[in-house]
Amino acid sequence: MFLDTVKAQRYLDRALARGGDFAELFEEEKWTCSVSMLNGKIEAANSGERWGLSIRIFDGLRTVYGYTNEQDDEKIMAVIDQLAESIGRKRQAECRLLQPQEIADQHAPEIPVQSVTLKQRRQLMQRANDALLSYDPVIKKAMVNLADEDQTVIIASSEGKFVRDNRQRTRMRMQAVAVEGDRMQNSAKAPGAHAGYEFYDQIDIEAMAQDAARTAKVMLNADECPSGEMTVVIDNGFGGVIFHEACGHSLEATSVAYGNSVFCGKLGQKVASELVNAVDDGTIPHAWGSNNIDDEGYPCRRNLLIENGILKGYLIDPLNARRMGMEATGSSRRQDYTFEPTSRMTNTFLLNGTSTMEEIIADTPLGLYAKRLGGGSVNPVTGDFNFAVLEAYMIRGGQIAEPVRGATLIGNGAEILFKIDKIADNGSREQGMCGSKSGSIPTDVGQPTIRVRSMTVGGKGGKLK
Amino acid sequence: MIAETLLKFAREEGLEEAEVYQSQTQTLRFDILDQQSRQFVVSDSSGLSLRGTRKGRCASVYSEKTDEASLQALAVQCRELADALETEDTVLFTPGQTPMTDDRSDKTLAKHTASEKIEFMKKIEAAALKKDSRIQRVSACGYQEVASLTTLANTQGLQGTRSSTLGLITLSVIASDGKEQTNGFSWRSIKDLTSQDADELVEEAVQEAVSKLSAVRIPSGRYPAILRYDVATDLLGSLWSMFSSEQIQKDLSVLKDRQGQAVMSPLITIVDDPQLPDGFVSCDFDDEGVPTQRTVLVEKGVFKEALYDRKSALKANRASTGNGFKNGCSSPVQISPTNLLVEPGDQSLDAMMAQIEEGVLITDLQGLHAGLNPLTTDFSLQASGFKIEKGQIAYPIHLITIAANYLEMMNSIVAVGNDGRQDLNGVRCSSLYVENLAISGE
Repeated sequence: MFLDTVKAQRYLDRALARGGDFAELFEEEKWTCSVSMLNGKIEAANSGERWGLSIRIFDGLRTVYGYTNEQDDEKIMAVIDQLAESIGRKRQAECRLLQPQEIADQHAPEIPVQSVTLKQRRQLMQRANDALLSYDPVIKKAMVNLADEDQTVIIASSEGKFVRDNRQRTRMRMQAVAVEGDRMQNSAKAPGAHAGYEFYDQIDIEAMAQDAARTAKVMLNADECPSGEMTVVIDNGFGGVIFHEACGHSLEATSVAYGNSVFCGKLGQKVASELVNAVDDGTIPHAWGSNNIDDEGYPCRRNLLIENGILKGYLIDPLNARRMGMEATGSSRRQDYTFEPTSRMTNTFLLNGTSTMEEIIADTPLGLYAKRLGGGSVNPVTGDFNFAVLEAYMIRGGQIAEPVRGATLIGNGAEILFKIDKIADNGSREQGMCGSKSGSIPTDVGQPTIRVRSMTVGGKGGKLK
Repeated sequence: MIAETLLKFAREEGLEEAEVYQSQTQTLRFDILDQQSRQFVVSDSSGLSLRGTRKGRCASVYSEKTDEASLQALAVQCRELADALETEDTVLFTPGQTPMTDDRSDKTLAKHTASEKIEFMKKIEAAALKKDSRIQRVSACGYQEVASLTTLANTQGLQGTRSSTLGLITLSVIASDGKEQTNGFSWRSIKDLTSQDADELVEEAVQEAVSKLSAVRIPSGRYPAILRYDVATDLLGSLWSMFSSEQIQKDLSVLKDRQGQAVMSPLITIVDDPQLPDGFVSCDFDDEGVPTQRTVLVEKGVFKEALYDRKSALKANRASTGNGFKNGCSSPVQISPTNLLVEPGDQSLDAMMAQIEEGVLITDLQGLHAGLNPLTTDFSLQASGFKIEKGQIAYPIHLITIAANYLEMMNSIVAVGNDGRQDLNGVRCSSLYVENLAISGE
């Protein structure tokens, strides 16, 4: 790494020369490697290393931000001076003496991602490939991608902070394409972790690949999903994207601090059915969305968001903490040094309820069983959200019936939380990439199976019969 | 200098052919909130990537470090990755003799000081708040200026330099009628700080936000529909990969084996035009150094030609169409359109609406990254817009979804509008009048 306490001290002090009350440096070195296999042959490989340094100065509720990727003292000073000049007053704060701080690594890899050979990567991908293709003759294509990342950051601030963290992540995407006549359906599983390659000894690659293949095959012969208002049972795991979109984004200070959220001013109030308990937990060892420290150097935390339907907290970064007059929650994240950090989710999920999945289905005379959800999006101002359903079935007479494809769930975050009337005891998490103001970052979504009394389902299959 | 050194290391490492892509980007951006600039960002960054072949198979590596040891390591890494490849696909890099230059930069904005730009945006924020009493807040008022320089060099003698600049202003406003809130967003690319751009930006965002107030849902059913030009553009922009020769070669496009066949309505003609004046993706050569060309993808509904880069062209035993582009240094070369344009028709939006007794005008789509399947072109997306009754806009509607298969929908086009504006990715489609569309609402 480029920064040491002496250099950092000098940069931070210079950053505060023309006003501003706080300055921060973020140095990042990131190695990435991505290898793709198509039907058993390695077809693409890309790897490289990024390095950059960003400088951020707080001036009350305002920030200035700059970055460069030249390891050149003069260039760095030029960026710092340009930023300081844009504040353009007299010095008001000094940089405290930087004290290197040790942090305990909760997510240290046993098999570091950079120690893995291309041959070992190939073997893992071959296993997924074989499991995908052998599932059924309708699976015509198996696409497997293995993507690794090894990031080291140093975060230093004018309050004396100087902390270093290493984050290694690995993720395997297994995609099946099923083809029959002129019909084509695809489906993927993409497990990942904040860990090294020991992760692949802990998961069942073959089972996951076959599950992806199964979905593609089932959806190949599915009818178009009917549309209209209906009861929807959303399965565990990636189903948690409903909470991520419908609620999580609206609890981020990026929305709340500016009055752009339906949850503004609702702390302590009922915002959901009393069955609902939700947390954002960035401390879970080796979870995809976890970190030891956030991207401003504060320890990640388990933040209670909703307890028995009552709103308990927001996700707050230090800048918006000032704006809101509240404490920061260890939630500041960014894609890389080119992004100014802000409040983001880590691993966000609904906690277990007391029903069972079987009871919930049996108790539903007519509705949609959304077994696997895709991504979605939300308008934080209105709380309106939508997401795609990748695998779905009708529920008829308390039993899972025919598969249907092409369903979209839409609704309003504030309303839907009240309509959750059953929560099962089978909570699990899955991995995703979340895109927002400070870039694309790894996050976990999760939940047990839930039932939403009534929801708008979009599809091409006409009215529900 | 760096490129020469890296190409030398690549040759020494045993790569058959090698190509270096370097980019340098300078940005300035800020947001205005409550008449103050916040999140003022300046940057100066650069990066490079190396592509190299072994047995014709091509790997790519990148770095933001340019010291000699890093360059040496990069060449080694490229050779190792290329040796690991097992694909039958090979690539030959573009030979070159005379250096190519493509300068599309404009220095007008750079002549203004940062404080002039801040003042300009402050006026926009103030004007938006004053424009309509229902505007409650400005949630974002942003300025962005990017200057980029790209250079290419390879072991086959190719040398190219491309430079461009972009100025962008954006505005988000929130309107309220006391009961509910709606938002409106607008953007303009700018070459100078002009009041016309500022006025249009304010007018569009404010109009969008207030026009959405008091929206209702409508019953599910099939309705005649007009997709406003921006929505039609969003859809094409999300589904263009059906025109990628690579997707077609891999059996991952609905246009596989359909060349020469009618795949859309005869009213539809789609071209990829790299020389569109003021186009956002206009350029003389692509990121493989291939001269760009105008390619007709769909002519009067008939699928004519796909987009090729050098790899897919070699596989098809033909020439590249000059559509090999990188999405920054860390991205490999991928097939991508330049200015992807649907040729406008002759009817105004009003004239198309006048033909509809009862239908919908769709003006906004959500969840484009999730609610559509590029493989099948099926989509099911949250939408909002307006109810059309007796040929006119009746009232705003929201929380509906529209679902269709894009190709089927493009086959049932009744009319193509004479409007349209390019989005930042270079895609442009006019408003489309669709015979009927499945809508789910109440």
